[in-house]
Amino acid sequence: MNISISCQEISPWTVLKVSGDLDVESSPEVRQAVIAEVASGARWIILDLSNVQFVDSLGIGVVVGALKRIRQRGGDMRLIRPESRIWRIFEICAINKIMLYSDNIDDLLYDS
Amino acid sequence: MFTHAKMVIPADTSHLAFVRTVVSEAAALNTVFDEEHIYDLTLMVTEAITNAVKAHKEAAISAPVEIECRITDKQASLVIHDRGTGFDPNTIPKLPPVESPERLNHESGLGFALMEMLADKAEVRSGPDGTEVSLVLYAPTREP
Repeated sequence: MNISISCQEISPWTVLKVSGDLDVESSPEVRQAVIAEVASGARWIILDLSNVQFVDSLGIGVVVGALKRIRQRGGDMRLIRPESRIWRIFEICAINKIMLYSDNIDDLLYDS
Repeated sequence: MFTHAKMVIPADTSHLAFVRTVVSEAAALNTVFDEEHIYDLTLMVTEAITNAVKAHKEAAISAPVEIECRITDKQASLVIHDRGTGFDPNTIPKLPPVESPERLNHESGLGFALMEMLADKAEVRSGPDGTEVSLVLYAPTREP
């Protein structure tokens, strides 16, 4: 499976960086990583997709599902955008209208 | 330039990366297709194969999935053929509006809508012996 996930704490944020293809094959692993972070108390998550090479509809579903779980617990999730050819697909699915995003992590850490 | 690739793969999503590589390399041989069009082709073929694999699993069918990719100066076309038990394309639920709280309940079911949105022409022929999805992307028009 062509995916890796790393985690960094920048209090109060948990930054999950996904690298590789976020698709039908890898989406269960990414979904599980988010669930594990939320279960351990994380409420403010930045999902960094800047190193993602491919996203399909199930990958987008993981983002939507993660956002839902976190907001249900009173938190929020923000997104570091993937490259433009991939971000177009997020825009087609209107993900840009339901969550905050940026190319720069500092914008997300300090934008209240 | 005309490129034709035919692939017969086991009904297993672990072969998707291979198919994406073949489709993107075939499209890249023809310089009329830019990076975004090639990405859209790989996404469309991924969604169609994901649905085909699901259809085979639901029907417990071990037959392979067939994919044809034809690239010309005018268009790129994909045909994905499975041996599942078929479905009615009219029964695919539509996504709720983005401003609706219901929107967050849709973690799956986006694939077919994405294919239709990305393709210039999308056709589905489905019956009890299987489903054939045909997707066409026209080459971008060049400035004279």
